[in-house]
Amino acid sequence: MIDMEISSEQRQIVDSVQNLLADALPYDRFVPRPTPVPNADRAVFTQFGELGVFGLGLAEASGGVGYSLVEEVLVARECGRFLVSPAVVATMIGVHVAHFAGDRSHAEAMMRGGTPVAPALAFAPAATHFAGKYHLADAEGAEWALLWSEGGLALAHRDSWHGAQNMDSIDSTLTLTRVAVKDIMPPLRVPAANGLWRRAQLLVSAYLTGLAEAALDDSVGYAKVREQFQQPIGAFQAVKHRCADMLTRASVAWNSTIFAALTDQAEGPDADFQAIAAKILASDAAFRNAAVNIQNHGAYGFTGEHHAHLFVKRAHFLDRFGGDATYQKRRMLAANAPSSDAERSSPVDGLAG
Amino acid sequence: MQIEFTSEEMAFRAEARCWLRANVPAGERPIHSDRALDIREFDLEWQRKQFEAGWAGISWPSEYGGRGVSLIEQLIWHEEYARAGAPRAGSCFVGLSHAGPTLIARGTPEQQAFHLPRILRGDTVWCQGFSEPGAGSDLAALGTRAEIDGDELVVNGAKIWTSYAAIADYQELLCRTEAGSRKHSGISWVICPMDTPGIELRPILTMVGPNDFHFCQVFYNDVRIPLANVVGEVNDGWNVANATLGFERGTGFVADQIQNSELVERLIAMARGRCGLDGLSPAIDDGDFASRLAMSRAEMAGVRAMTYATVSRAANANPGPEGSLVKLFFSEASQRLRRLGVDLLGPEALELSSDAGLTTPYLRSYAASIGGGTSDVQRNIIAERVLGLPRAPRP
Repeated sequence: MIDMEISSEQRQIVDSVQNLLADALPYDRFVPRPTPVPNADRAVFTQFGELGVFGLGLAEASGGVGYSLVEEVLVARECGRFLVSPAVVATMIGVHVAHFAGDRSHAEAMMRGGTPVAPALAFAPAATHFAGKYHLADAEGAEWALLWSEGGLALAHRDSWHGAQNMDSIDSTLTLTRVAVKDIMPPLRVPAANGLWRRAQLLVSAYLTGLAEAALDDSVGYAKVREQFQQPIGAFQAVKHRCADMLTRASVAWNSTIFAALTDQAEGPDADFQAIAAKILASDAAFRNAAVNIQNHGAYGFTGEHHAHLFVKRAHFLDRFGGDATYQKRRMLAANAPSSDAERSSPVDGLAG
Repeated sequence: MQIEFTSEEMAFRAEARCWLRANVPAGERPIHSDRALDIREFDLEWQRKQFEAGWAGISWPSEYGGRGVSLIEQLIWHEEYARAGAPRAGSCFVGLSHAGPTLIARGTPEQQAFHLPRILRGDTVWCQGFSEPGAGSDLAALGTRAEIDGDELVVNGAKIWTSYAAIADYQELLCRTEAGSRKHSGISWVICPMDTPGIELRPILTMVGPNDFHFCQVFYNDVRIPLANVVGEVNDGWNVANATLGFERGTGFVADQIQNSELVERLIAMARGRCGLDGLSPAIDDGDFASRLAMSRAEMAGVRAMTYATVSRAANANPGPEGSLVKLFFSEASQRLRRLGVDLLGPEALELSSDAGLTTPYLRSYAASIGGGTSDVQRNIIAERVLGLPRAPRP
C-alpha cells in the first residue's frame, strides 16, 4: 500500500492541535517592542500535555497516547506554522529519551508539559560522546536540555549546565544561553544506533516545513490584498512565480519528510538516507521561503512590526538543531544510497488508517 | 499512511524485473537524426517485443489490449524499466502515452479498432501537431485552418516542434474548424496520416549539435483528410486534447526520475575516482562539488517522494494541477544535475568526441524546462489554480 494521504483520524489530531495553537499562540503574541521580549509559549505546555502532544508517539503501555512517528511529524509541522518555541520539539523527543533510558517518572513529567526541554545546539557535534559547548534555546524555565551528537541523544539536567552565559539572541523572542556540558555520557541517553535521532531529525524537518508553509501563506494572503498599479500584486508574474516556487519548495519538503517518516516506520534500509535528505530539503525550503516572504512584503517585510523576520530567525535555530545544512550535506554524501534491490517488503499495517 | 508494497506488487516487480533484464535490447538506441529510419525500426522492434510478452500499454485498460495494471504497478514498472536500462519509448511515446489514450477516451469504435492494436503491437508511429509558430504557451491561439468540404477536411497552416515527424505514420492534429472562432472554441482534434499529399517538412536543427534535427516544422497545403478522422465532436477538440492530460497520473516520467537518481550516484562515484582542481585529491573533497552533489542527491530523493505522493493521491482522486509542482521541480533539479556532470568532467566537457556520455544529455537538458509546458506556464498554473492568486490582466 502506498498511502501518503492524511487519514481522517490524523486530520482530527491536526485540527485539535491547530485549534489550540490558533487560540493560545496566535502570531499577534509577537508584539514588537524596542527591547527583547522572550516568548511565553511554555505557559501553554501543560495544555499541550493535556492534549497528548508530548506523549503522542509513545506506546500506551508506557503511558503515552500510542500513535506513531507519523502523527508526531504532523504535530511538529503545525508547531512550525505557529512558530511555537522549539522547546516543544525538544520536549517531544525528550520523552522518548527518558523513556528509553528507563526513567518513567521524568518521562511522565515531560509528557504532562510541566518540565520543558530546551534544544541544545552543538557548536560542533562530538563523534562519540556528549561533552562540549552548546547554545541552549529558550532555556529559561527549562528543566532539561536535549543534547544531540553523532553519539545519539541525551538529556542534560540544568544542574549540569556549566558556565551558563546569556547572549543577545538573533531572535529576540528566544533566549540564547551558552553552556558547557562536561558529562561525557549523561545517564539519560539513547545511542545513535537506536534510530531515535531520525525521529528527532524528522520532527525538526516537519517544524521547518510548517515554517516554510506559513511563510508561503503569509505571502499569498498579502499578494491577494496588497494593491499597486491598480491591481493586487499577486497578479504580477514576478510575484506569483515567487509564490509558486515557495509552494514547490514547501511541497518537496513536506513529501520528503513524510516519505522519510513512513520509510522509518517500515524499517526501510534507506531510512537514514531519507531522513538526511528531508532535513536538507526542509531547511532549504524554510530559509528560502522566509527570505522571499520578506521580499514579497516590500519594506513592510523588513520591519520588526510584521512577523516575517521571525521565520528567518527561527529557521536558523532549527537548522542548527541536530546539525546545520553544511553538516547534513556531508552526511548525505556519506549515507548509503537506497539499493534498487532492497525494496520494502513484509507489509505491516500502519498504526493509523 | 504507509509505504509498503503488497505481496502482489512485490510479485509484479519481480516478474517485470526478470523479464526486463532478460529482454532489454543489447544495442544502443541510435540517436542521430541522419539515422531516422534506424531509430524508427529500433523503437518499433522494442515495442513489438514488449507486445509479444504482454507488457505493451502498461497504463492502458485491458479491454483495449493494454496490461491494465494498477497505478502502483505502473509506478513499479517504470522504476524497473529504468533500472534495467531499457531504452526510452522514443518515437512510440506519443502513440502510447497520448494519441492512444485519447482514442480510448474519445475515439469511435472504428477509430479504436483500427489504431489501438497498431500502436500497441509496434506497427505505427505517431507525432503531435499542437504547437504553432504563433501558438506556444498560448496554445489556444492556434490558427491552422481546416475547412469542411463534403466529407473531407482541407487543412492549411503550419505546426512546429513536431518530434519524429519524418518517421511518423500519423499525427494528432489540432486545427481550427470553425472560421472566425477564437481561443478554445472551434478547434478539432484530427487523425492526420502523414503521407497525405500537401504535407511538407522542414527539419529544425537543435542546440544539441550538428545533425541533431530532433523536431520539424510541418506545413499543410490543401491537405485533404477524411472528416471521419475527427476524434470526438467537430469543434470540441480542446476538450478532446485535455481528456487525457492526467492519463498517467504522475507515473509518466518515473523512468526519467530513476535515471536521474542513478546519474547522481554515478556522479558521486566519479567524483570519488577523479582528481579535483589541485590534481591530487578527489573531486568530492572539493567543498563546492560536495555541496552540489549532496544537494542533488537530496533533490532526487525529494522528486521520488513527490511522485509517490502524487500516485497515492491519484489512487483516490482525479489528478489536479499539483502535477505541475513535480514537473517544475524535477525539470529544474535535473538541469542542475546535468550541469554538475559537465563541471565534474572538467575540460573534457568541451570535447563532444571524448564525451563520457555527459555533455550531449547536458545540452539536451536545456529543453526540460520548456517542453511539455514551460516552467513559466507551470508557475502560472500553480499560482492561479492551486494558490488562487489573481490572473494577470489579459487583452
